Amino acid sequence: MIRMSERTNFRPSAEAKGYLDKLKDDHIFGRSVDGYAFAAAVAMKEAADIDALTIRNRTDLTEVATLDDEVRLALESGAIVMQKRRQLPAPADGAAMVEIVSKYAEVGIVMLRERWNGKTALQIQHEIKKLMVG
Amino acid sequence: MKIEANSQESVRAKLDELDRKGRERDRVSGELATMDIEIERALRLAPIPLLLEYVREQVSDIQRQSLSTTRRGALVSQLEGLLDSPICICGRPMDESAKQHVAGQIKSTAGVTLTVEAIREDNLKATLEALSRYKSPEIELALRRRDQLVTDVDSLTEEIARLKAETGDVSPGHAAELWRKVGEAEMNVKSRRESLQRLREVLQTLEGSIGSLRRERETLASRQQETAQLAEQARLARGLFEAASELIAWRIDETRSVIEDETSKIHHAVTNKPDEYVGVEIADIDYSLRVRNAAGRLLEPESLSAGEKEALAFAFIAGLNIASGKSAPFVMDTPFGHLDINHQRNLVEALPKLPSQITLLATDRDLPPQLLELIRPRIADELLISRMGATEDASIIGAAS
Repeated sequence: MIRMSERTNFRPSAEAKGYLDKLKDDHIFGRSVDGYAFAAAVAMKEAADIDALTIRNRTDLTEVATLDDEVRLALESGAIVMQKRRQLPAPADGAAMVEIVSKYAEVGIVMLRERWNGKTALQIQHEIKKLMVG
Repeated sequence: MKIEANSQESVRAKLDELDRKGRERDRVSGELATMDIEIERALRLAPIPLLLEYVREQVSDIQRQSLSTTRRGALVSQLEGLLDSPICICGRPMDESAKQHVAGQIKSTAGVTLTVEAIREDNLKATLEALSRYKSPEIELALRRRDQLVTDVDSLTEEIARLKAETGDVSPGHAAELWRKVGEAEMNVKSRRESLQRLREVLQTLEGSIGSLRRERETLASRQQETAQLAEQARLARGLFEAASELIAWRIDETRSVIEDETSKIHHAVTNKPDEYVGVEIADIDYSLRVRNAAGRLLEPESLSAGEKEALAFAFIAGLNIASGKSAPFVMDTPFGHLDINHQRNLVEALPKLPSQITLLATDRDLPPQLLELIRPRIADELLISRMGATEDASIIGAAS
């Protein structure tokens, strides 16, 4: 099973990073990368389409290794399964795995931004809870 | 201050409550911070429950694709056990050919190389299997508790703000200090009351004095008014006096000048040195007479002869009479006794020029016939006074013959 390269940086678009920073500043997530991982998970769960996505104006977020190993493993599992379901080849290496996860995160951020627009930090955290418990 | 202190005392309970609420808020805030950390930690793992379906699917795929090292080891063990057993697992006896087959299987299975990759895959699979059984933390409870704590903190903050507003900037220490000051203030009040009482007594005495002083002042004021009136009158009187003095001085000077003029004229007529004596003057200080000579010197009467003194006296009396404007009767008693003949003639000739009625008492020696003849035409009446007898103090006045 191909895993994400730990020393690779997540590189979201500047717009996505701005929203991640806001989520951190609003104390919804303790770190921007946690919001990034959550957005990727939401997009995977909802089988978002990432084919047409091209990430522009990319900026460094943080190293992949800053994520908890269990979270990384879950994201990697999700990426592999999604590729398989879409009848696409599994990522060939760690960088490719990072790129697939990044695309889901980018799409997920757009989705979350639309859903959470106008909501308070507490309301958003309750939204996250609902998503977690399914 | 006592009122303030009572007020402070009443807020002491509020201050205690404020202190209690402050501690409670600190405690709740601490719990809230802990809960936030717990929630943050739970949210770090939030992607996992969303992806559990995929994790489980991946676990299944891996299980299908590979045989685990554990299972391989278990298979070898099982085959080795079969070699020692007389009966196969299918129930038939283990003959020699069966044992050779099993030995071949053991050899092929055990010959598989346990690569690092295979071990890693096994570990990964094990981790994924564990992850597939992941149970979400009780985030709902944590969120509810957190929300309750936020509400509690807000409520406590509001209550603290209200209590602070009610108690202002008063602290328990401030209240105690106020009570101490109240004690001091009460002592001061007592002391000041005593002082006040003493002052009232003094005031009462002073009020009595003020009454008498007021009356005295009124008296003095009336006196002052009188004094002012008197002073005004005095001022007027002084003015009048000065004016009168000035008038008198002027009048004196004028009268003296008139007297001097008249006296000088008569003296010039009666003196036997009309060329030497040019005038008679009256002295400023004692009004004594002086005769100014032709050289300008003033001669004291003592320096004149007896006849000249009488001539000067006649001139002065006659001058006074004329200057008075009254023309008083003029009585002359034996005026020629000390005069020389020239003076006698001058004086007799001057008599008709005087504006007064003249009564001349003279003996035949004072007024010899030749002098009498000089003025006889001007004599209104001529009487003869003779003694009645040697023993009687009486005289007989009769017509002259």
